[in-house]
Amino acid sequence: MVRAGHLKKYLQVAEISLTNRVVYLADHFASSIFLLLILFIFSQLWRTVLGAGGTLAGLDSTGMLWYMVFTEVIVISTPAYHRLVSDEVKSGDIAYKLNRPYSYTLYYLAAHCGEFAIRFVTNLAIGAVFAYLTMGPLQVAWAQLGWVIISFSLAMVLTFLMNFSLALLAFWFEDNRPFFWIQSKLVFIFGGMFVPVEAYPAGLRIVSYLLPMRYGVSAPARLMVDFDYAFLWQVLLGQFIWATILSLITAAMFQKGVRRVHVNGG
Amino acid sequence: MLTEAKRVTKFVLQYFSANLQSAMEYRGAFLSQIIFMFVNNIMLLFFWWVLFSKIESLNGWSFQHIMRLYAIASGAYAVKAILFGGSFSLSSTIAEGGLDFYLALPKPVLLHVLVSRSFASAWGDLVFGLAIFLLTVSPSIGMLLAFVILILAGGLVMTSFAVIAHSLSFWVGYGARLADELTEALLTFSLYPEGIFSAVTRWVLYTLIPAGFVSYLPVRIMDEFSWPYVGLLGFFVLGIVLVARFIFYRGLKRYESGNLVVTNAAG
Repeated sequence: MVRAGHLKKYLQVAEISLTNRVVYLADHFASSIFLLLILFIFSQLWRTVLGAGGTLAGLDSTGMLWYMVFTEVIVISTPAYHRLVSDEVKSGDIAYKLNRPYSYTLYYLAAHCGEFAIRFVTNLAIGAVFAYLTMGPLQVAWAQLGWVIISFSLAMVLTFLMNFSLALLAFWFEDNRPFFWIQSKLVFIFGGMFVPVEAYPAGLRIVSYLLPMRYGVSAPARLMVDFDYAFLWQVLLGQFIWATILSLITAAMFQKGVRRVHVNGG
Repeated sequence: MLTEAKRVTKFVLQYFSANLQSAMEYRGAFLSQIIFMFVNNIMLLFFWWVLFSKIESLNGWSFQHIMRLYAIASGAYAVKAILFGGSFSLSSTIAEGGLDFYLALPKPVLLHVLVSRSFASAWGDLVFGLAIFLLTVSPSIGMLLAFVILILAGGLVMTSFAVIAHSLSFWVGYGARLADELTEALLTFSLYPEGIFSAVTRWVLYTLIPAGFVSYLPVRIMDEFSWPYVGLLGFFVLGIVLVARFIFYRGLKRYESGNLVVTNAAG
Protein backbone atom coordinates (compact mmCIF):
# COMPACT_ATOMS: atom_id res chain seq x y z
CA MET A 1 0.00 0.00 0.00
CA VAL A 2 1.07 3.57 -0.60
CA ARG A 3 1.54 5.74 2.47
CA ALA A 4 0.30 9.32 2.14
CA GLY A 5 3.87 10.64 2.35
CA HIS A 6 4.88 8.45 -0.60
CA LEU A 7 2.07 9.70 -2.77
CA LYS A 8 4.03 12.86 -3.51
CA LYS A 9 6.77 11.08 -5.42
CA TYR A 10 4.25 9.31 -7.65
CA LEU A 11 2.53 12.61 -8.31
CA GLN A 12 5.93 13.96 -9.33
CA VAL A 13 6.41 11.02 -11.70
CA ALA A 14 3.02 11.82 -13.24
CA GLU A 15 3.99 15.48 -13.53
CA ILE A 16 7.30 14.65 -15.26
CA SER A 17 5.50 12.35 -17.68
CA LEU A 18 2.95 15.08 -18.41
CA THR A 19 5.63 17.77 -18.86
CA ASN A 20 7.61 15.54 -21.24
CA ARG A 21 4.54 15.30 -23.41
CA VAL A 22 3.88 19.07 -23.33
CA VAL A 23 7.33 19.64 -24.87
CA TYR A 24 6.23 17.75 -27.98
CA LEU A 25 2.77 19.31 -28.14
CA ALA A 26 3.13 20.62 -31.71
CA ASP A 27 4.17 17.16 -32.85
CA HIS A 28 1.22 15.72 -30.98
CA PHE A 29 -1.29 18.03 -32.70
CA ALA A 30 0.17 17.10 -36.08
CA SER A 31 -0.38 13.42 -35.34
CA SER A 32 -4.09 14.00 -34.72
CA ILE A 33 -4.84 14.04 -38.44
CA PHE A 34 -6.04 10.45 -38.35
CA LEU A 35 -8.52 11.33 -35.59
CA LEU A 36 -9.94 14.11 -37.77
CA LEU A 37 -10.08 11.81 -40.79
CA ILE A 38 -12.05 9.11 -39.01
CA LEU A 39 -14.36 11.66 -37.38
CA PHE A 40 -14.99 13.26 -40.76
CA ILE A 41 -15.98 9.90 -42.27
CA PHE A 42 -18.26 9.04 -39.36
CA SER A 43 -19.88 12.48 -39.31
CA GLN A 44 -21.01 11.79 -42.87
CA LEU A 45 -21.90 8.17 -42.10
CA TRP A 46 -24.13 8.97 -39.10
CA ARG A 47 -25.80 11.83 -40.91
CA THR A 48 -26.66 9.44 -43.76
CA VAL A 49 -27.70 6.52 -41.56
CA LEU A 50 -29.62 8.35 -38.86
CA GLY A 51 -30.57 11.56 -40.67
CA ALA A 52 -32.87 13.80 -38.69
CA GLY A 53 -34.65 11.99 -35.89
CA GLY A 54 -33.12 8.52 -36.29
CA THR A 55 -31.40 6.86 -33.32
CA LEU A 56 -29.11 3.93 -32.69
CA ALA A 57 -28.85 2.52 -29.17
CA GLY A 58 -30.69 5.63 -28.02
CA LEU A 59 -28.27 8.12 -29.59
CA ASP A 60 -28.98 10.41 -32.53
CA SER A 61 -26.38 11.33 -35.18
CA THR A 62 -24.92 14.12 -33.03
CA GLY A 63 -24.74 11.83 -30.00
CA MET A 64 -23.10 9.06 -32.07
CA LEU A 65 -20.34 11.35 -33.29
CA TRP A 66 -19.68 12.74 -29.81
CA TYR A 67 -19.67 9.16 -28.47
CA MET A 68 -17.01 8.32 -31.02
CA VAL A 69 -14.98 11.40 -30.10
CA PHE A 70 -14.73 10.06 -26.54
CA THR A 71 -14.03 6.40 -27.40
CA GLU A 72 -11.36 7.37 -29.95
CA VAL A 73 -9.81 9.91 -27.59
CA ILE A 74 -9.58 7.34 -24.78
CA VAL A 75 -7.91 4.79 -27.07
CA ILE A 76 -5.47 7.10 -28.84
CA SER A 77 -4.56 8.87 -25.58
CA THR A 78 -3.52 5.64 -23.89
CA PRO A 79 0.28 5.73 -23.69
CA ALA A 80 2.34 2.73 -24.76
CA TYR A 81 4.31 2.18 -21.53
CA HIS A 82 3.51 -1.51 -21.80
CA ARG A 83 6.07 -1.74 -24.62
CA LEU A 84 8.72 -0.28 -22.35
CA VAL A 85 7.76 -2.67 -19.54
CA SER A 86 7.86 -5.65 -21.95
CA ASP A 87 11.32 -4.60 -23.14
CA GLU A 88 12.58 -4.11 -19.59
CA VAL A 89 11.35 -7.54 -18.58
CA LYS A 90 12.81 -9.22 -21.67
CA SER A 91 16.16 -7.47 -21.52
CA GLY A 92 16.48 -7.85 -17.74
CA ASP A 93 16.72 -4.08 -17.26
CA ILE A 94 13.88 -4.41 -14.77
CA ALA A 95 16.51 -5.59 -12.26
CA TYR A 96 17.95 -2.06 -12.13
CA LYS A 97 14.55 -0.62 -11.27
CA LEU A 98 13.58 -3.10 -8.57
CA ASN A 99 16.02 -1.71 -6.02
CA ARG A 100 14.89 1.90 -6.44
CA PRO A 101 12.87 3.60 -3.71
CA TYR A 102 9.52 3.25 -5.44
CA SER A 103 7.08 0.57 -6.48
CA TYR A 104 7.71 -0.50 -10.06
CA THR A 105 3.98 -0.85 -10.75
CA LEU A 106 2.97 2.44 -9.16
CA TYR A 107 5.80 4.24 -10.95
CA TYR A 108 4.36 3.19 -14.31
CA LEU A 109 0.79 3.84 -13.19
CA ALA A 110 1.79 7.41 -12.32
CA ALA A 111 3.66 7.87 -15.62
CA HIS A 112 0.66 6.41 -17.49
CA CYS A 113 -1.79 8.79 -15.79
CA GLY A 114 0.39 11.86 -16.39
CA GLU A 115 0.78 11.21 -20.08
CA PHE A 116 -2.80 10.06 -20.52
CA ALA A 117 -4.08 13.30 -18.97
CA ILE A 118 -2.26 15.62 -21.37
CA ARG A 119 -2.96 13.48 -24.42
CA PHE A 120 -6.61 13.19 -23.46
CA VAL A 121 -7.02 16.96 -23.12
CA THR A 122 -5.28 17.79 -26.43
CA ASN A 123 -7.02 15.03 -28.41
CA LEU A 124 -10.36 15.95 -26.89
CA ALA A 125 -9.84 19.60 -27.82
CA ILE A 126 -9.28 18.62 -31.45
CA GLY A 127 -12.11 16.07 -31.57
CA ALA A 128 -14.55 18.34 -29.74
CA VAL A 129 -13.93 21.32 -32.04
CA PHE A 130 -14.50 19.09 -35.06
CA ALA A 131 -17.67 17.51 -33.65
CA TYR A 132 -19.02 20.91 -32.61
CA LEU A 133 -18.43 22.41 -36.05
CA THR A 134 -19.88 19.48 -38.00
CA MET A 135 -22.70 18.16 -35.81
CA GLY A 136 -23.36 20.80 -33.19
CA PRO A 137 -22.88 20.99 -29.43
CA LEU A 138 -23.05 18.13 -26.96
CA GLN A 139 -25.65 18.51 -24.23
CA VAL A 140 -23.35 18.14 -21.24
CA ALA A 141 -24.85 17.23 -17.87
CA TRP A 142 -22.70 19.84 -16.08
CA ALA A 143 -24.10 19.09 -12.64
CA GLN A 144 -23.11 15.44 -13.00
CA LEU A 145 -19.74 16.06 -14.67
CA GLY A 146 -17.87 15.10 -11.50
CA TRP A 147 -19.28 11.55 -11.74
CA VAL A 148 -18.28 11.34 -15.38
CA ILE A 149 -14.73 12.45 -14.56
CA ILE A 150 -14.53 9.75 -11.87
CA SER A 151 -15.63 7.19 -14.47
CA PHE A 152 -13.01 8.42 -16.97
CA SER A 153 -10.34 8.26 -14.26
CA LEU A 154 -11.28 4.67 -13.44
CA ALA A 155 -11.21 3.89 -17.17
CA MET A 156 -7.68 5.29 -17.32
CA VAL A 157 -6.62 2.99 -14.45
CA LEU A 158 -8.37 0.03 -16.07
CA THR A 159 -6.56 0.51 -19.40
CA PHE A 160 -3.28 0.73 -17.49
CA LEU A 161 -3.95 -2.49 -15.58
CA MET A 162 -4.98 -4.37 -18.74
CA ASN A 163 -1.85 -3.27 -20.61
CA PHE A 164 0.50 -3.69 -17.66
CA SER A 165 -0.67 -7.23 -16.89
CA LEU A 166 -0.19 -8.20 -20.54
CA ALA A 167 3.27 -6.61 -20.51
CA LEU A 168 4.19 -8.73 -17.47
CA LEU A 169 3.49 -11.84 -19.56
CA ALA A 170 6.98 -11.15 -20.95
CA PHE A 171 8.27 -12.95 -17.81
CA TRP A 172 6.88 -16.17 -19.26
CA PHE A 173 6.62 -15.59 -23.01
CA GLU A 174 9.47 -14.56 -25.30
CA ASP A 175 7.10 -12.60 -27.53
CA ASN A 176 4.00 -11.13 -25.88
CA ARG A 177 2.97 -8.95 -28.85
CA PRO A 178 0.19 -11.35 -30.00
CA PHE A 179 -1.57 -10.81 -26.65
CA PHE A 180 -1.65 -7.06 -27.28
CA TRP A 181 -2.90 -7.63 -30.77
CA ILE A 182 -5.76 -9.81 -29.51
CA GLN A 183 -6.52 -7.25 -26.80
CA SER A 184 -6.72 -4.41 -29.35
CA LYS A 185 -9.27 -6.41 -31.33
CA LEU A 186 -11.27 -7.13 -28.17
CA VAL A 187 -11.22 -3.41 -27.35
CA PHE A 188 -12.48 -2.66 -30.86
CA ILE A 189 -15.43 -5.04 -30.52
CA PHE A 190 -16.26 -5.32 -26.82
CA GLY A 191 -15.00 -1.84 -26.04
CA GLY A 192 -17.57 -0.48 -28.51
CA MET A 193 -15.15 1.77 -30.37
CA PHE A 194 -17.50 2.74 -33.21
CA VAL A 195 -20.95 1.95 -31.79
CA PRO A 196 -22.15 1.62 -28.20
CA VAL A 197 -22.26 -2.04 -27.16
CA GLU A 198 -25.96 -1.51 -26.38
CA ALA A 199 -26.51 -1.69 -30.17
CA TYR A 200 -25.09 -5.24 -30.36
CA PRO A 201 -27.19 -8.40 -30.61
CA ALA A 202 -28.12 -9.78 -27.16
CA GLY A 203 -25.40 -12.47 -26.96
CA LEU A 204 -22.53 -10.14 -27.80
CA ARG A 205 -23.95 -7.44 -25.58
CA ILE A 206 -23.91 -9.74 -22.56
CA VAL A 207 -20.33 -10.82 -23.28
CA SER A 208 -19.28 -7.18 -23.50
CA TYR A 209 -20.97 -6.46 -20.14
CA LEU A 210 -18.84 -9.18 -18.57
CA LEU A 211 -15.48 -8.04 -20.01
CA PRO A 212 -13.38 -5.10 -18.80
CA MET A 213 -13.06 -3.44 -22.26
CA ARG A 214 -16.53 -1.94 -22.08
CA TYR A 215 -15.74 -0.29 -18.74
CA GLY A 216 -12.49 1.12 -20.12
CA VAL A 217 -13.88 2.65 -23.33
CA SER A 218 -17.57 2.46 -24.22
CA ALA A 219 -19.19 2.98 -20.82
CA PRO A 220 -17.53 6.29 -19.82
CA ALA A 221 -18.05 7.65 -23.37
CA ARG A 222 -21.72 6.76 -23.25
CA LEU A 223 -22.04 8.28 -19.79
CA MET A 224 -20.67 11.54 -21.13
CA VAL A 225 -23.08 11.80 -24.04
CA ASP A 226 -26.17 10.35 -22.37
CA PHE A 227 -25.93 10.66 -18.59
CA ASP A 228 -28.21 8.49 -16.52
CA TYR A 229 -27.89 7.66 -12.80
CA ALA A 230 -28.92 3.99 -13.14
CA PHE A 231 -26.29 3.56 -15.86
CA LEU A 232 -23.71 5.45 -13.77
CA TRP A 233 -24.03 3.05 -10.81
CA GLN A 234 -23.81 0.07 -13.16
CA VAL A 235 -20.67 1.49 -14.80
CA LEU A 236 -18.94 2.46 -11.56
CA LEU A 237 -19.66 -0.97 -10.08
CA GLY A 238 -18.24 -2.70 -13.17
CA GLN A 239 -15.18 -0.46 -13.16
CA PHE A 240 -14.57 -1.00 -9.45
CA ILE A 241 -14.91 -4.80 -9.73
CA TRP A 242 -12.59 -4.99 -12.75
CA ALA A 243 -10.04 -2.60 -11.22
CA THR A 244 -9.93 -4.85 -8.14
CA ILE A 245 -9.66 -8.08 -10.13
CA LEU A 246 -6.96 -6.70 -12.45
CA SER A 247 -5.01 -5.18 -9.53
CA LEU A 248 -4.92 -8.58 -7.80
CA ILE A 249 -3.90 -10.33 -11.02
CA THR A 250 -1.19 -7.76 -11.72
CA ALA A 251 0.20 -7.96 -8.18
CA ALA A 252 0.27 -11.77 -8.29
CA MET A 253 1.92 -11.79 -11.72
CA PHE A 254 4.52 -9.26 -10.65
CA GLN A 255 5.37 -11.18 -7.48
CA LYS A 256 5.74 -14.45 -9.35
CA GLY A 257 7.51 -12.85 -12.30
CA VAL A 258 10.26 -11.03 -10.42
CA ARG A 259 11.28 -14.31 -8.83
CA ARG A 260 12.33 -15.38 -12.31
CA VAL A 261 14.74 -12.45 -12.64
CA HIS A 262 18.36 -13.53 -12.23
CA VAL A 263 20.87 -10.82 -11.43
CA ASN A 264 24.51 -11.58 -12.13
CA GLY A 265 27.18 -9.29 -10.73
CA GLY A 266 30.43 -8.56 -12.48
CA MET B 1 7.55 -1.75 -76.86
CA LEU B 2 6.23 -5.29 -76.41
CA THR B 3 9.73 -6.60 -75.64
CA GLU B 4 10.19 -3.84 -73.06
CA ALA B 5 6.85 -4.72 -71.42
CA LYS B 6 7.89 -8.38 -71.34
CA ARG B 7 11.22 -7.48 -69.80
CA VAL B 8 9.59 -5.32 -67.11
CA THR B 9 7.04 -8.05 -66.28
CA LYS B 10 9.82 -10.62 -66.01
CA PHE B 11 11.79 -8.29 -63.74
CA VAL B 12 8.79 -7.75 -61.44
CA LEU B 13 8.03 -11.48 -61.33
CA GLN B 14 11.65 -12.33 -60.52
CA TYR B 15 11.61 -10.00 -57.54
CA PHE B 16 8.17 -11.29 -56.53
CA SER B 17 9.49 -14.84 -56.57
CA ALA B 18 12.63 -13.92 -54.60
CA ASN B 19 10.59 -12.00 -52.00
CA LEU B 20 8.13 -14.87 -51.65
CA GLN B 21 10.92 -17.42 -51.16
CA SER B 22 12.50 -15.16 -48.58
CA ALA B 23 9.20 -14.89 -46.65
CA MET B 24 8.65 -18.66 -46.89
CA GLU B 25 12.05 -19.26 -45.29
CA TYR B 26 10.35 -18.67 -41.91
CA ARG B 27 7.20 -20.60 -42.68
CA GLY B 28 5.67 -20.42 -39.18
CA ALA B 29 6.06 -16.63 -38.99
CA PHE B 30 4.75 -16.27 -42.56
CA LEU B 31 1.61 -18.29 -41.84
CA SER B 32 0.93 -16.58 -38.51
CA GLN B 33 1.21 -13.15 -40.16
CA ILE B 34 -1.32 -14.22 -42.80
CA ILE B 35 -3.74 -15.55 -40.18
CA PHE B 36 -3.41 -12.44 -37.99
CA MET B 37 -4.06 -10.11 -40.92
CA PHE B 38 -7.03 -12.21 -42.03
CA VAL B 39 -8.61 -12.05 -38.57
CA ASN B 40 -7.79 -8.34 -38.35
CA ASN B 41 -9.77 -7.64 -41.52
CA ILE B 42 -12.70 -9.79 -40.37
CA MET B 43 -12.87 -7.58 -37.27
CA LEU B 44 -13.24 -4.51 -39.48
CA LEU B 45 -16.32 -6.04 -41.06
CA PHE B 46 -17.84 -6.54 -37.62
CA PHE B 47 -18.92 -2.90 -37.41
CA TRP B 48 -20.79 -3.12 -40.71
CA TRP B 49 -22.41 -6.38 -39.67
CA VAL B 50 -23.78 -4.67 -36.54
CA LEU B 51 -24.89 -1.62 -38.53
CA PHE B 52 -26.67 -3.64 -41.23
CA SER B 53 -28.47 -5.65 -38.55
CA LYS B 54 -30.19 -2.32 -37.78
CA ILE B 55 -30.70 -0.92 -41.30
CA GLU B 56 -31.64 -2.41 -44.67
CA SER B 57 -29.54 -0.29 -46.98
CA LEU B 58 -27.22 2.69 -46.93
CA ASN B 59 -27.95 4.93 -49.91
CA GLY B 60 -28.17 1.86 -52.14
CA TRP B 61 -25.31 -0.01 -50.45
CA SER B 62 -26.10 -3.37 -48.84
CA PHE B 63 -23.88 -5.49 -46.57
CA GLN B 64 -22.99 -7.53 -49.66
CA HIS B 65 -21.72 -4.37 -51.37
CA ILE B 66 -19.65 -3.56 -48.29
CA MET B 67 -18.13 -7.05 -48.41
CA ARG B 68 -17.21 -6.54 -52.06
CA LEU B 69 -15.75 -3.15 -51.20
CA TYR B 70 -13.56 -4.78 -48.55
CA ALA B 71 -12.60 -7.60 -50.93
CA ILE B 72 -11.44 -5.16 -53.61
CA ALA B 73 -9.78 -2.66 -51.25
CA SER B 74 -7.84 -5.30 -49.32
CA GLY B 75 -6.90 -7.05 -52.58
CA ALA B 76 -5.62 -3.74 -54.01
CA TYR B 77 -3.69 -3.06 -50.82
CA ALA B 78 -2.20 -6.57 -51.06
CA VAL B 79 -1.05 -5.90 -54.63
CA LYS B 80 0.68 -2.74 -53.47
CA ALA B 81 2.28 -4.35 -50.41
CA ILE B 82 3.31 -7.63 -52.04
CA LEU B 83 4.47 -6.44 -55.48
CA PHE B 84 5.45 -2.82 -54.75
CA GLY B 85 6.37 -2.84 -51.04
CA GLY B 86 9.12 -0.26 -51.63
CA SER B 87 6.39 2.37 -52.06
CA PHE B 88 5.79 2.36 -48.28
CA SER B 89 9.24 3.75 -47.47
CA LEU B 90 10.07 5.68 -50.64
CA SER B 91 10.47 9.04 -48.88
CA SER B 92 12.94 7.57 -46.37
CA THR B 93 14.84 6.03 -49.28
CA ILE B 94 14.95 9.45 -50.97
CA ALA B 95 15.80 11.48 -47.85
CA GLU B 96 18.48 9.08 -46.60
CA GLY B 97 20.29 8.81 -49.93
CA GLY B 98 19.12 5.25 -50.44
CA LEU B 99 18.55 5.76 -54.18
CA ASP B 100 22.33 5.66 -54.80
CA PHE B 101 22.21 1.89 -54.85
CA TYR B 102 19.45 1.77 -57.47
CA LEU B 103 20.96 4.52 -59.62
CA ALA B 104 24.08 2.43 -60.09
CA LEU B 105 22.14 -0.52 -61.53
CA PRO B 106 20.93 -0.96 -65.13
CA LYS B 107 17.24 -1.24 -64.24
CA PRO B 108 14.47 1.42 -64.16
CA VAL B 109 15.10 3.19 -60.84
CA LEU B 110 11.49 3.72 -59.75
CA LEU B 111 10.35 0.21 -60.59
CA HIS B 112 13.43 -1.25 -58.93
CA VAL B 113 12.83 0.65 -55.66
CA LEU B 114 9.18 -0.34 -55.65
CA VAL B 115 9.66 -4.08 -56.19
CA SER B 116 12.66 -4.37 -53.86
CA ARG B 117 10.46 -4.84 -50.77
CA SER B 118 7.47 -7.03 -50.03
CA PHE B 119 5.30 -7.46 -46.95
CA ALA B 120 4.47 -11.04 -46.05
CA SER B 121 1.48 -10.01 -43.91
CA ALA B 122 -0.22 -8.64 -47.05
CA TRP B 123 -0.80 -12.22 -48.17
CA GLY B 124 -3.38 -12.25 -45.38
CA ASP B 125 -5.10 -9.27 -47.04
CA LEU B 126 -5.07 -11.10 -50.37
CA VAL B 127 -6.49 -14.32 -48.91
CA PHE B 128 -9.13 -12.27 -47.06
CA GLY B 129 -10.05 -10.33 -50.19
CA LEU B 130 -10.37 -13.48 -52.25
CA ALA B 131 -12.38 -15.34 -49.60
CA ILE B 132 -14.83 -12.45 -49.11
CA PHE B 133 -15.12 -11.98 -52.86
CA LEU B 134 -15.99 -15.65 -53.40
CA LEU B 135 -18.64 -15.37 -50.69
CA THR B 136 -20.42 -12.55 -52.52
CA VAL B 137 -20.47 -13.88 -56.10
CA SER B 138 -21.18 -17.19 -57.79
CA PRO B 139 -17.58 -18.31 -58.35
CA SER B 140 -16.36 -18.84 -61.92
CA ILE B 141 -13.10 -18.46 -63.82
CA GLY B 142 -14.40 -15.25 -65.41
CA MET B 143 -15.27 -13.74 -62.02
CA LEU B 144 -11.89 -14.73 -60.62
CA LEU B 145 -10.16 -13.10 -63.57
CA ALA B 146 -12.25 -9.96 -63.11
CA PHE B 147 -11.26 -9.86 -59.43
CA VAL B 148 -7.57 -10.16 -60.29
CA ILE B 149 -7.78 -7.38 -62.91
CA LEU B 150 -9.72 -5.07 -60.59
CA ILE B 151 -7.33 -5.49 -57.64
CA LEU B 152 -4.37 -5.00 -59.99
CA ALA B 153 -5.94 -1.74 -61.17
CA GLY B 154 -6.65 -0.66 -57.57
CA GLY B 155 -3.15 -1.68 -56.51
CA LEU B 156 -1.61 0.42 -59.29
CA VAL B 157 -3.69 3.44 -58.24
CA MET B 158 -2.61 2.99 -54.60
CA THR B 159 1.05 2.53 -55.56
CA SER B 160 1.06 5.52 -57.93
CA PHE B 161 -0.59 7.70 -55.30
CA ALA B 162 2.05 6.61 -52.78
CA VAL B 163 4.83 7.40 -55.28
CA ILE B 164 3.40 10.91 -55.82
CA ALA B 165 3.02 11.51 -52.06
CA HIS B 166 6.48 10.19 -51.20
CA SER B 167 8.13 12.02 -54.12
CA LEU B 168 7.32 15.27 -52.29
CA SER B 169 10.47 14.43 -50.30
CA PHE B 170 12.51 15.55 -53.32
CA TRP B 171 11.20 19.07 -52.71
CA VAL B 172 10.34 19.30 -49.01
CA GLY B 173 13.12 17.19 -47.50
CA TYR B 174 11.89 14.51 -45.10
CA GLY B 175 8.23 14.16 -46.02
CA ALA B 176 7.59 10.64 -44.73
CA ARG B 177 4.96 11.71 -42.24
CA LEU B 178 2.93 13.70 -44.74
CA ALA B 179 3.19 10.87 -47.28
CA ASP B 180 2.11 8.29 -44.70
CA GLU B 181 -0.90 10.39 -43.76
CA LEU B 182 -1.95 10.85 -47.38
CA THR B 183 -1.62 7.15 -48.18
CA GLU B 184 -3.42 6.25 -44.97
CA ALA B 185 -6.25 8.61 -45.97
CA LEU B 186 -6.55 6.88 -49.35
CA LEU B 187 -6.77 3.45 -47.73
CA THR B 188 -9.26 4.60 -45.09
CA PHE B 189 -11.59 6.26 -47.60
CA SER B 190 -11.40 3.13 -49.80
CA LEU B 191 -12.97 1.14 -46.98
CA TYR B 192 -16.13 3.26 -46.63
CA PRO B 193 -18.98 3.24 -49.17
CA GLU B 194 -19.21 6.31 -51.37
CA GLY B 195 -22.95 6.43 -50.63
CA ILE B 196 -22.29 8.06 -47.27
CA PHE B 197 -20.32 10.99 -48.67
CA SER B 198 -21.58 14.37 -49.85
CA ALA B 199 -21.18 15.42 -53.50
CA VAL B 200 -18.13 17.58 -52.74
CA THR B 201 -16.40 14.77 -50.83
CA ARG B 202 -17.14 12.36 -53.67
CA TRP B 203 -15.57 14.76 -56.11
CA VAL B 204 -12.41 14.77 -53.95
CA LEU B 205 -12.51 10.98 -53.76
CA TYR B 206 -12.48 10.67 -57.54
CA THR B 207 -9.67 13.21 -58.00
CA LEU B 208 -7.30 14.32 -55.23
CA ILE B 209 -7.62 11.22 -53.02
CA PRO B 210 -8.65 8.66 -55.66
CA ALA B 211 -10.37 6.11 -53.41
CA GLY B 212 -13.14 6.02 -56.04
CA PHE B 213 -10.80 4.28 -58.46
CA VAL B 214 -9.39 1.92 -55.83
CA SER B 215 -12.69 0.45 -54.70
CA TYR B 216 -15.93 2.34 -55.54
CA LEU B 217 -15.73 2.09 -59.32
CA PRO B 218 -14.48 -1.53 -59.26
CA VAL B 219 -17.43 -2.48 -57.02
CA ARG B 220 -19.76 -0.75 -59.46
CA ILE B 221 -18.17 -2.65 -62.36
CA MET B 222 -18.81 -5.93 -60.55
CA ASP B 223 -22.34 -4.89 -59.76
CA GLU B 224 -23.44 -3.45 -63.10
CA PHE B 225 -20.77 -4.20 -65.70
CA SER B 226 -20.39 -1.59 -68.41
CA TRP B 227 -17.56 -0.88 -70.84
CA PRO B 228 -17.56 2.90 -70.19
CA TYR B 229 -16.82 2.18 -66.49
CA VAL B 230 -14.04 -0.23 -67.49
CA GLY B 231 -12.66 2.35 -69.94
CA LEU B 232 -12.78 5.08 -67.30
CA LEU B 233 -10.93 2.88 -64.79
CA GLY B 234 -8.31 1.87 -67.37
CA PHE B 235 -7.83 5.47 -68.46
CA PHE B 236 -7.40 6.69 -64.88
CA VAL B 237 -4.96 3.89 -63.98
CA LEU B 238 -2.80 4.64 -67.01
CA GLY B 239 -2.97 8.37 -66.27
CA ILE B 240 -1.98 8.16 -62.61
CA VAL B 241 0.85 5.70 -63.35
CA LEU B 242 2.28 8.12 -65.91
CA VAL B 243 1.84 11.14 -63.62
CA ALA B 244 3.57 9.30 -60.74
CA ARG B 245 6.43 8.29 -63.02
CA PHE B 246 6.77 11.83 -64.32
CA ILE B 247 6.80 13.39 -60.83
CA PHE B 248 9.32 10.86 -59.50
CA TYR B 249 11.80 11.35 -62.36
CA ARG B 250 11.30 15.13 -62.20
CA GLY B 251 12.19 14.98 -58.53
CA LEU B 252 15.09 12.65 -59.18
CA LYS B 253 16.84 15.50 -60.98
CA ARG B 254 16.94 17.31 -57.62
CA TYR B 255 18.22 14.23 -55.80
CA GLU B 256 21.41 14.61 -53.83
CA SER B 257 23.14 11.37 -53.03
CA GLY B 258 24.16 10.58 -49.47
CA ASN B 259 27.44 9.30 -48.10
CA LEU B 260 25.78 6.72 -45.89
CA VAL B 261 27.52 3.38 -46.22
CA VAL B 262 24.93 0.61 -46.33
CA THR B 263 24.84 -2.98 -47.47
CA ASN B 264 22.25 -3.89 -50.07
CA ALA B 265 21.51 -7.24 -51.58
CA ALA B 266 19.60 -7.41 -54.84
CA GLY B 267 18.46 -10.32 -56.89
